[in-house]
Amino acid sequence: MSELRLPAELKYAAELAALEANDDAARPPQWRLSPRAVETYVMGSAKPVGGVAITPKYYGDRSLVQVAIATLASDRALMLAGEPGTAKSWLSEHLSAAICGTSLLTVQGTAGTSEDHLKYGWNYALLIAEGPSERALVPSPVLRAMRQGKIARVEEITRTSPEVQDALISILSEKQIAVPELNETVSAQRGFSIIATANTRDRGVNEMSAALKRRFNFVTVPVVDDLDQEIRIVQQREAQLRSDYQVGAPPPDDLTRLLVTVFQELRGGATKDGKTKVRAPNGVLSTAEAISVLFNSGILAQSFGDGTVNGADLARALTGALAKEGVEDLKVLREYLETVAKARSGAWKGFYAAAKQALT
Amino acid sequence: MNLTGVHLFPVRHHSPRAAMCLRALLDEVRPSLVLIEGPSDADALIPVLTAADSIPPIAILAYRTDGTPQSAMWPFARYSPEYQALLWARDHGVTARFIDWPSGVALAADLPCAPVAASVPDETPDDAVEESFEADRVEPASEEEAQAPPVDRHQALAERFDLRHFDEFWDAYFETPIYQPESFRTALNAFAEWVAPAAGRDTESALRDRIMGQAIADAVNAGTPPERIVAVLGAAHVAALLRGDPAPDANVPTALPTALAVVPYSYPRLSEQSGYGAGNRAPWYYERVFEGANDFARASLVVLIEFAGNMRARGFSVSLADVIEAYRLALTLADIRGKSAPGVDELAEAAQATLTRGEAAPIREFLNPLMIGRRIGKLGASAGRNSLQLEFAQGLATYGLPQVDEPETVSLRLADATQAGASLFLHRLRVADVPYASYAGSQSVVTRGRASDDEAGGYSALSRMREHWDVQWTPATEVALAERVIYGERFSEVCERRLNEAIGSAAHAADATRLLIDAVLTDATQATARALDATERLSSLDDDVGSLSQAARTLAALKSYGSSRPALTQIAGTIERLLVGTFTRAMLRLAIASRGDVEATQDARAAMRVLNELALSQALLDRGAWMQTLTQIAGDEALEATASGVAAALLYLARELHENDLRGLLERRLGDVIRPARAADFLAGFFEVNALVLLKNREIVAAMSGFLSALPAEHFRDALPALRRAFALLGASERRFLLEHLVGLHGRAAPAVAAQVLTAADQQSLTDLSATLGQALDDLDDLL
Ligand SMILES: Nc1ncnc2c1ncn2[C@@H]1O[C@H](COP(=O)(O)OP(=O)(O)OP(=O)(O)O)[C@@H](O)[C@H]1O
Ligand SMILES: [Mg+2]
Repeated sequence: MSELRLPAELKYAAELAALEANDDAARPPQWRLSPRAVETYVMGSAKPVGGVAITPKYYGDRSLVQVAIATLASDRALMLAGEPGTAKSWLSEHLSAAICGTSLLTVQGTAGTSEDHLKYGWNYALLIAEGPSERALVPSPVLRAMRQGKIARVEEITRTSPEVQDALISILSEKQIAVPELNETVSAQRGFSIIATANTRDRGVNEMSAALKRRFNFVTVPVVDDLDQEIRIVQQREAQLRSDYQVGAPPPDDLTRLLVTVFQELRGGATKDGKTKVRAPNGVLSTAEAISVLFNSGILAQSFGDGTVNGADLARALTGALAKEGVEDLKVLREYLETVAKARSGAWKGFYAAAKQALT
Repeated sequence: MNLTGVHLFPVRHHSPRAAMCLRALLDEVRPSLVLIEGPSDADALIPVLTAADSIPPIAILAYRTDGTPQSAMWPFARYSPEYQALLWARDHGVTARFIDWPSGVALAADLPCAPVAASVPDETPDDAVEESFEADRVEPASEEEAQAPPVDRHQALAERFDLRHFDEFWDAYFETPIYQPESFRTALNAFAEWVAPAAGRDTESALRDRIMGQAIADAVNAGTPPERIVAVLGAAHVAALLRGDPAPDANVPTALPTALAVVPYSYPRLSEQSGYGAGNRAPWYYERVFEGANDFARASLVVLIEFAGNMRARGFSVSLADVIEAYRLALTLADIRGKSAPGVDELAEAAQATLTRGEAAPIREFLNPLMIGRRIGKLGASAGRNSLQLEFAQGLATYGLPQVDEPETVSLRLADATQAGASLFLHRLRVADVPYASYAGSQSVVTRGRASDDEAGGYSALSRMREHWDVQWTPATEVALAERVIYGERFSEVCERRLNEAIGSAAHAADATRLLIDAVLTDATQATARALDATERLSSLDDDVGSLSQAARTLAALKSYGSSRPALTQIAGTIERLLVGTFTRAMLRLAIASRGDVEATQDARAAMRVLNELALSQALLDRGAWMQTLTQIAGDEALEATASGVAAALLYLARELHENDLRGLLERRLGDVIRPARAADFLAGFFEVNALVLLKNREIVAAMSGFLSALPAEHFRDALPALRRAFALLGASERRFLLEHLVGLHGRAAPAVAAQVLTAADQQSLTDLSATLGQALDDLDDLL
């Protein structure tokens, strides 16, 4: 079971090894791969490299990935900003895995994140027994990344307190962390950098200080608004999840299309033909959410249904996801069913009937 | 055709790299003759193009002199290789000549019916079509556009190299790398071969290959040693000559008569052209590149510094360290992409990541325009300018009007003599059809979205205190100035002639009066007289109430304005006579026009309101006869019911219909439960005029309510569409009165319910009209 949550560097170890073995381009100091090879790893390659197929990790704009990689090769830290569920964390994980071989030096940003989480803490038992010592020091992921010349990831930076953000400013500008208790200063090895992610739906984005913003290059990760493109993403990621977890059932194409259409129409506030206005829900209907609804409908079909995904499984998974945000969003869905879904044919018929039932 | 030994130099038309390599080649070869792709009848313009005081972008303009508006332009930037070749020849005292087919043939070939264009279309868009920018083609859709989209070999090439579009490919493989003339020539020839259509060249291009090849061969035969000739041609033409394509089986189209001139061009226009032939995403940036010996990295830094300055001026915090970071990022990006230097794409992406913190809007709104630039070219003193061009330039100077190729607004107060002069000038440009200023309304402040009848030459034009105009100079302005000279030497003459032409083909009285206003606005005295004649002639034949009522309204406006214009006092009598004539004719035809269905009477209803306004305001007109007409229309059940409703409302509002009579009329018209749709139509017409005043009257509401509650359910459904239409006209306050009366009439002690319904309905009305409709109806349903 532990295999399920394998970090990218382990899960894609074979791809990374093949890329490394076949990479003769120049590498920035401490990089495991050249920028070009990192790009190939993230975007995938039509031809196998060293006999190993390189699967696409991120589906989207290549130039965005190139800007991210170029940033990490420069002096600046990288900020991936965007709406929820647009693969910011996913990109951050894969970039750090490909560049420095580990994606695990991660700080999760929350209101409770303290300066210690960015710098270091102590093992108090040892501290009391031995006094301040290297052994008693508990380095943060950032400190470890500095020492090893690797990439540290700070997730959801916008949720952290101003004090923590200030601490980050000094880390980024001085590239060192002082440990006065040991009378020591840890300076960053070459190769050290930070990838932060920020959710633009959080109020915090606007409140980030100018001084902090100035330490980053910003890459905005867009919401996919092309229907076919999003269908492709959802399909492929769902299939990967199904094979990772070894559960679920494959959804038929017309249901996948239906689901992504529902998401895009609710998200955009209008039907795809622009003719009918639709009320938008409070919850975020991200690509990530669509992937998880589709995956869940496969599990429902397998566990409670007849083993093939039908409109009823999808409807149940969808209402389950929307219910998280409260009854208001279920109302939105009900409205959508009546004003939009009802009049449509094909897979929509079964879906409409099942969803109506699921909502009562 | 033997071209051996001649230096054929392939170019892309606006390419700094091609220009630089070409200059190096010229310095090396030191030719005694330079031949250049361009209309062969434009040689006389070369001294003007290359005059020391001419500043690109400038263009050769060719326009037809047979009266059909059609023209073509050949623009040059400073970094266009052709332009540099011309300058080199000037500096070295060497002859330079254009060798493409003459402008009259180029224009003929552009016509959709041209014999050459009828052959198999090219697989790729032809460069010549794009290089010549047509301000006003006879037919906007070219032959190629009408076909299914061709496989774009240029785009395909870009995708093969993992690049997004052809311009990016071009920058990466031709602009940014360093080339020697020879290696550039080899690379560009290879490129031209790759993108060449498999099916062979289209006939037009093949004919031009032939003509240019022949011109080069002729020069050799005339005695210039081939190795002393440099010929500068688009890469596709060079490739065709090198391949020795066979002569095409087609004739060169017959030349149209043309005249040629050099005119200013602008960077914004240059940037609009796309495709291989034009490809000018960022003229200002490319010019920086060219001036800095094609050092793209340096030019990029210049742009970033300038942009950072712009951002700071707009209150963004952007430091020098940020600029350096952006510059480094652009370099790294170029490196990752295997490009030798950053180009337009890397610049924009790096600036977005670093300087605007991920925001795209400042890039779109400030960086892109910065790279495009705003420059308008200038002509030297030697450039012959026609009298209209001179009058135009003088007008701009006198009235302080801008000559920039981006939209600006000019506001004029017509009480001021100078500003009234500016208005006359702008109206003359408008009537002369010189695109420069478009009328933007007469409100006291500039607002978007003016009243629908507030038109430049509308009936209200004569009583305005102010005018706002959107002005923008574009190369099309120059084209028109060159072309309009066939109408006259001065704008006043051009206006007279064009108005006379238009008056000659006017078919309705309204058209004639509209032209009459234009004639008055432009001080065109002959046209004024002719328009008056035409109004007289046409109004006696006109049967169209819409046209007649508009004519009457315009004449009334002229009549009130006439007192302040000496030119009009002489014709004041004629205007009054025509006003009475058109009004009476319209009035007599109104009943006939009020037959048919709702759509058919739309004009009649509009006319009725216009005529009513005139009847009430112009003492000259027979008010009694008018009210009789309305009374007849309101009561006649054979006429379309909406029209009757409008007439009834007008009568009531003019106090010509007593409350009791109105009540009777309403009961009769609304009592028609057998044909409820007609009753609803009547109601819709009734509200169309002034629902608020009508709904304040409880009697009216009572009649209406009685009608609705008496309707059997099945009839209610029939009446629904018309009812929806009727109630859609009601705004929030109308509905408040309606509901108050209804509540009062039914004696329901339910003010709270009504209030609640109202606020809900009011909010809806603001947000969603269709929802309002349903909502209003439902409310009504609930209440009744
Ligand atoms: N364009 C895409 N390409 C590949 N995977 C995608 C794409 N968009 C979304 N996903 C998938 O969505 C899932 C969620 O992405 P992730 O958690 O990285 O989102 P996020 O942007 O970090 O969201 P949040 O702001 O909520 O943290 C991942 O499994 C990812 O694979
Ligand atoms: Mg995340």
